[in-house]
Amino acid sequence: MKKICNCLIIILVAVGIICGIVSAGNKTRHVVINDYAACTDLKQMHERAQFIVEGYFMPSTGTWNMARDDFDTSKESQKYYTEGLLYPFNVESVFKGSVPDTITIIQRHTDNYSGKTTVDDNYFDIDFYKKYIVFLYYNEEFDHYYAGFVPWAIKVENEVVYLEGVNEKSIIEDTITGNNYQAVLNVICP
Amino acid sequence: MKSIIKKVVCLLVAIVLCDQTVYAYSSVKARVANKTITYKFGSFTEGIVNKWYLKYAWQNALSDWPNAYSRITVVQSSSTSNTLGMMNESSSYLYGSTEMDFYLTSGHIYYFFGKLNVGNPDITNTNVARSAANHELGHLLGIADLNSGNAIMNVNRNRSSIYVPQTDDVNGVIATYTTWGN
Repeated sequence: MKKICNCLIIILVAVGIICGIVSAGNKTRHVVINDYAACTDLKQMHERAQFIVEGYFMPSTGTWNMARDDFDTSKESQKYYTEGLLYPFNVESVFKGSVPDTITIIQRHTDNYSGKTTVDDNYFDIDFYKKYIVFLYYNEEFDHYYAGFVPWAIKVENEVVYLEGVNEKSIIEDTITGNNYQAVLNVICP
Repeated sequence: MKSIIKKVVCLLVAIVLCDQTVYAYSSVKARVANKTITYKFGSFTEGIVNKWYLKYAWQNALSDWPNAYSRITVVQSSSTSNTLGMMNESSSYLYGSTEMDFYLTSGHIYYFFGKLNVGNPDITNTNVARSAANHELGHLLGIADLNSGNAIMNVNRNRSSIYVPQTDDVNGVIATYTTWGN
């Protein structure tokens, strides 16, 4: 009887170990990797942006599906949902291009291409009490401004600036000389 | 005795440091098994509207990788769920995107969907589309994004002039499969 019990225990342990190994082997992960436009220094950001403005974001007025119908951009996609957050932006200074006093900026927030929602790697929470310098493009069809590359926003706090929305801030750290506001202005409005 | 041990340790550290070769690539565990990309194409047409230039970009990229490194194989199969297609994301900084599912233990990708973003106005440039397609295939071969360097994986590359895999990219693929196995 004791022998049978021991055998059963050994079999159960062995089955447990095998099941553990099999289930560990079957563990999976879902990832989304994007190829996005990026700049490595402030001069490049200045050159590439259509518009560079300074001002304040207002709280988001809503969302917009950036995923459009594959063959008709005027319609939103019925298959996918990429959430863009819409913010009114009060323009205080214009460093490049010509824009109205208030514009609408869209910020890429999440995407959902396979039923799983993923937050954009470059997303950042906007501080409505702080001034921003933003580098933008204009979408004529929908009359909103958007980020055509990352990083695209610099937060200004007194005379100190902070780069927003980059995972590896070292990309352009050198060019935000000492996080100095004036040094940034020297590059974007020489 | 202590000083001899110290010297030996220093010598070993020096040898190890001198032996390090600096590469720009960054490899990851998730990769297609046996350097083989098995795929089917998604839809590129609807009615009279077509986006064939994106399919050509994928086709070029599917030749570019085996040309750059002959051990890479591509297999078209109607029975696979792995798809190379397109997306239409407006007002976006994306050129392309790849979603993939892989086993944590082996790192083998068992499902992927690579997409070129027709909503990015730059992608109508043939080289830019090809560059984006090669970049996405690079992810399937286990290499990660870079912020600099002469590489298809550099997100800041000039997509008009760097549109095929570079030496650094091939080194990255070799390192990936050497490190993690086929």
